[in-house]
Amino acid sequence: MVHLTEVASGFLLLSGVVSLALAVVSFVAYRRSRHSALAFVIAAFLVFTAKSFLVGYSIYSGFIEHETLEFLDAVGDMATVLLFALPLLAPRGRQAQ
Amino acid sequence: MTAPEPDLVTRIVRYVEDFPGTHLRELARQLGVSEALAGYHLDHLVHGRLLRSETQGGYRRLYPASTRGPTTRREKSHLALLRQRVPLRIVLILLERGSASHTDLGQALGLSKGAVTYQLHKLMEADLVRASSKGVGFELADRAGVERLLRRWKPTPDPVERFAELWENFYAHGRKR
Repeated sequence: MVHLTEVASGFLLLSGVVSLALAVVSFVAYRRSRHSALAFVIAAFLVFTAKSFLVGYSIYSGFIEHETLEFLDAVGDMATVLLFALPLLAPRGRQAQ
Repeated sequence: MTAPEPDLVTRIVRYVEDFPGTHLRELARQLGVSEALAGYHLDHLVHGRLLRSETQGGYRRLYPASTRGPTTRREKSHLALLRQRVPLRIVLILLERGSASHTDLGQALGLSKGAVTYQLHKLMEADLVRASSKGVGFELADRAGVERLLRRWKPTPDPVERFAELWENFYAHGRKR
């Protein structure tokens, strides 16, 4: 019988793979256009990838304690959302390249 | 080898005639078939000399066998560059305005100075753009040639370009609010 934690772990790892693919596509797009907003998009997808792999593996293996895992999950999501939002918040023309 | 389906073969030939310089993956995506199936039919067409293929920059690019397609290396490299959205936009701005400064291009495209420099460098290396004869800004190196190129062949929509445009439009609209 498959446990829900194993399914959750599987979904998180799959999210990480998809996010990594999107980070690669964003990188290719950034290299072509050098549009600074895409640098933040790449960073957001990479953070989400790292978080998904870490949390997904930890749910399955239990190598990180539950409370710490929830904290890391929340921090990862916050960092991802902030990175997506930063190009909207930064003044035009002053973004890092 | 079994004979290829005539309808799909016709679609492939017409697509390559309309968008010469396209590559296999893009062709398959636009026609809604698998790469394997498109590649299988392309082998027939190249073998039958109805199409030509050349490897450029790691991509297998396809051209009509007839002279309707770009025949010179210069045309082919120009077309390959114009399939990228930002270089195409720069060229269209210069076509419309005649010449434009670095700052004008940055404002029109919503790009930083560094990004504009990078794109202009690519276009100047390909001999599409040059420093303006008026002394300020940039202009097309061969205006008539670019007009001819764009009139005859439409640059294909590139999925990576569409992805980039999606995010750029998102941030452009977000900043307006």
